Amino acid sequence: MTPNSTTASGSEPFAADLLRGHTDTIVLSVLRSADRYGYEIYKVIRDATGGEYEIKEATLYATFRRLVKDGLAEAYWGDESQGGRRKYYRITDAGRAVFERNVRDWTATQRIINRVLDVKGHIE
Amino acid sequence: MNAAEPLSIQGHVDAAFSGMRMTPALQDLKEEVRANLTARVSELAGQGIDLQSATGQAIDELGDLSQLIRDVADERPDPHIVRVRPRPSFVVSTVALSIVLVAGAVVVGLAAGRVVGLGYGILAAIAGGLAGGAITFSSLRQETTAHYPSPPTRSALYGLATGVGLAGVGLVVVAVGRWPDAPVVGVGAASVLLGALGLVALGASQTNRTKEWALAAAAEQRGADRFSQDPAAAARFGIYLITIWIVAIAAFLALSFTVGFVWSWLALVAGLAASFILLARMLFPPNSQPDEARRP
Repeated sequence: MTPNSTTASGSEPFAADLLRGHTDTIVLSVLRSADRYGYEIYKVIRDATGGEYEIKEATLYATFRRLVKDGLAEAYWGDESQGGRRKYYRITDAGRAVFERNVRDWTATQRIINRVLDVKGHIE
Repeated sequence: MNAAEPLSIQGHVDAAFSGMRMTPALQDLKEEVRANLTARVSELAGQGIDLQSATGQAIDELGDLSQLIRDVADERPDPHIVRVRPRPSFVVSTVALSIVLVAGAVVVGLAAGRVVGLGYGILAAIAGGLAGGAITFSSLRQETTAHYPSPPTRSALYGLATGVGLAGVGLVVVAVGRWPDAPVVGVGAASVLLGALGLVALGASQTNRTKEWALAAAAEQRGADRFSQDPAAAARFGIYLITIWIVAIAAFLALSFTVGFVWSWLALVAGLAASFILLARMLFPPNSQPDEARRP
């Protein structure tokens, strides 16, 4: 039932494109529990996917910028005393609202697709 | 643990951003990328991977930043504003101190009207001054979205001058209501003078603490705001304002002694109204041409 990989390489057991389309929501989800800096966010996502999927950090930077621009997250520099300052991201109330809406949308879409695919499966 | 790390990470980041005109947004991104790479390298090094391979792996995982860097560089210099939120403790303490300040003003008023004793009035004036000074100090110490914090000593001096001045105003009001209380009036007037002199000295030596983006935004808006466009108009406004308030306060005091407190406050209301009309007329002149003609 899993859609086949749509990437040219086809080496991943899932659709990387599909996942990439949800990067914003995924990052918002990671920020829901705590403020985090870029590499931390990257690590949480990597660990959550069991290392199967490594989102490119360059993609993440673009996501952070978009989230901040849209007011879904706020950026601030931490005050680490050593080892350079880190830029942290904090989810805003707008971000939480958008996250919940996206999760609702995703759940509904996924249910519909599953149903449609199941019907096809029965016919065959 | 990562003593030699800056060398090659810094090198890679510098190379990635080379040839770009470094806008604040790009500088920000560069610093962020560098910090994240450093975090990744120290993690890998913690797993026992040698520094060179760790650095190589981290850079590899980072991927190609060139598109992102171009996007950020091409961005309209719509300033990259990092919003600074007020610390909750600051907000709470400021509200608490404001309550002290307001309570102090009320007691000062009551003491001036001989409802409570002179001692309470003096205490309230001092407490109000302390609260006002503390508010000034802590406000100046805050970093805001548009301003950097003032240095501690300078903030403390501002707080001191404000506090002394406010306490002086309180003492004068208390004593004037109970005329003749010459010593208290004397001390109060001296405090007001001292506080005012302190604020003048501090104001005259004040340097910029506005952030770059706010300065840039102000420069961009220069067409709209008359006072930044025409400093002479701003100076004239200041002088008119002082005149209005000297008259209003004099009228307030005169009415207080003759007609009483029931009506004297109207003088202050009139002063406030006049100030706002003046502000409206001068900041947004009805027509800029006649205004040019009025200038000597």
